Amino acid sequence: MKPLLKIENISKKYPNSKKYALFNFDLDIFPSEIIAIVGKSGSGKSTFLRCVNGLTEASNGNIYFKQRNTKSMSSKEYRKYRTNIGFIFQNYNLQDRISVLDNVLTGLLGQRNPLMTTFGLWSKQDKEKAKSILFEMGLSQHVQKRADQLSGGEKQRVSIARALIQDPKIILADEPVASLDPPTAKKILDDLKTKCKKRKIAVVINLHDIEMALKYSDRIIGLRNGEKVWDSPSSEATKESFKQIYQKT
Amino acid sequence: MNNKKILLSLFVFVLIGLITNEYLPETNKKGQEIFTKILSGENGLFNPDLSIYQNVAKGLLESFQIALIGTVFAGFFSLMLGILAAENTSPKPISGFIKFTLNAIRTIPEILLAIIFIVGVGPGAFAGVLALGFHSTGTLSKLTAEVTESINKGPIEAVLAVGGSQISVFRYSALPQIMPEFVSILLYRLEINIRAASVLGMVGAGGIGKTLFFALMARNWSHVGTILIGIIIVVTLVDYISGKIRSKLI
Repeated sequence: MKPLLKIENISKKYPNSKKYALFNFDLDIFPSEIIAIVGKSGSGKSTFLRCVNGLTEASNGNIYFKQRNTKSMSSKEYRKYRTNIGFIFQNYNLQDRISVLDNVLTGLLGQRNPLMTTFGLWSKQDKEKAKSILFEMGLSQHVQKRADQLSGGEKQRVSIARALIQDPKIILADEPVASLDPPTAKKILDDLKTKCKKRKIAVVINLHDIEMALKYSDRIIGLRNGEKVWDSPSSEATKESFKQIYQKT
Repeated sequence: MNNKKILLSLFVFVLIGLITNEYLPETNKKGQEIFTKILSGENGLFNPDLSIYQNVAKGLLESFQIALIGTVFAGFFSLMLGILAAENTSPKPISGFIKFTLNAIRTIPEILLAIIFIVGVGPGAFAGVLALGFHSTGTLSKLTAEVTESINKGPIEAVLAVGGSQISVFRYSALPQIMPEFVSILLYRLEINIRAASVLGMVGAGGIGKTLFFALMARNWSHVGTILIGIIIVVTLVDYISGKIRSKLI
């Protein structure tokens, strides 16, 4: 099987920093697999996810989406590429002052005519789709509320809905539950997993909680100081492997 | 110093003034007489002539219109200029140039602008609108630029991450963050402009200032009193209403 996304030797060095935040990182992502990336803070987990969809520009390396190098894409093609990737942020990054429904619709901004969306004109199908995803996420009663009136858990559900409406091939989730209490975190990860498996979406999720990583992923990757130190199916990850990932340097 | 202390010291000063009154030189005594007459004389400030209310109301309405149109005019330009002047939404050379120009505009007082525009377009309300609009564009754009520079980057990344264009980023992420604060500073500017508009008439730029100027020239203090009451009512009313709206926006 060919990978959906092939990441080849990407490295990232931030300006004014001597060390690489991410160094020669390789990863093949296959459809509907859930990959957990674990590691201490500052190990390069977020940098990696941000490099994948270009929120941060990688210093070297290549990313191939359906065998096409993203570096050779025009800016229009790159925006098209981004529509295939949902991104879930740790602090949700919703548009606070607009409604929950409109927030979900923003997930389609890369796929609809900018002139229409600038005037807030969305088709009936789009609105219905947004509502049905909100229903699926258990947010039916909040559709017309302003996003800043929701609790943290509800906000993260809206941001998952925003990613799902894109019909993405891959979802990148950067510490999606780090700001939430454990029971809410568990419910959200349960939902994320079932919804993505159902739609055959691949998920790459950054987690610092080992138990959660083991429970929700098919494959675990360990990062230490920007380098990959572990890569195995979750079933093969042992205490020893985590010691190796988290060991002091 | 707190209010009580200020009041107390004022009281002491007045007391000293009253006691030493007997020993004042003749000229100062005359000045005091005139001052008393201006304030509380038959034709004084505190005996306003309410019969001219129609004239005053007309002038006040014109001042209000000058302020409103000037502010709307400034709002339109400053939203664009402010965003162009913000370092996070505009290339550095452009932002620097606009900021410099805005600073230059802001240093010219409204009254001077009014005189310049009166020479340009003739005396009347339009000169007042231009003076207020021009000056307010300077201040409002700077504030808008500051608001724009302080917006949260996260929601912008969210729109970029789904493949949204720059227009979408502006419409769905930047604008919703800028708008409430922008409207709030716009309303605040309207309050300031209403005060400014009542003075502009004195140099011939229309509004209540013209009526005020003639009353002052004729030493008609009871008319001046009526006009001042009118200005106080309008300014207080606008402050109150815009304050209510602003507290809801933020």
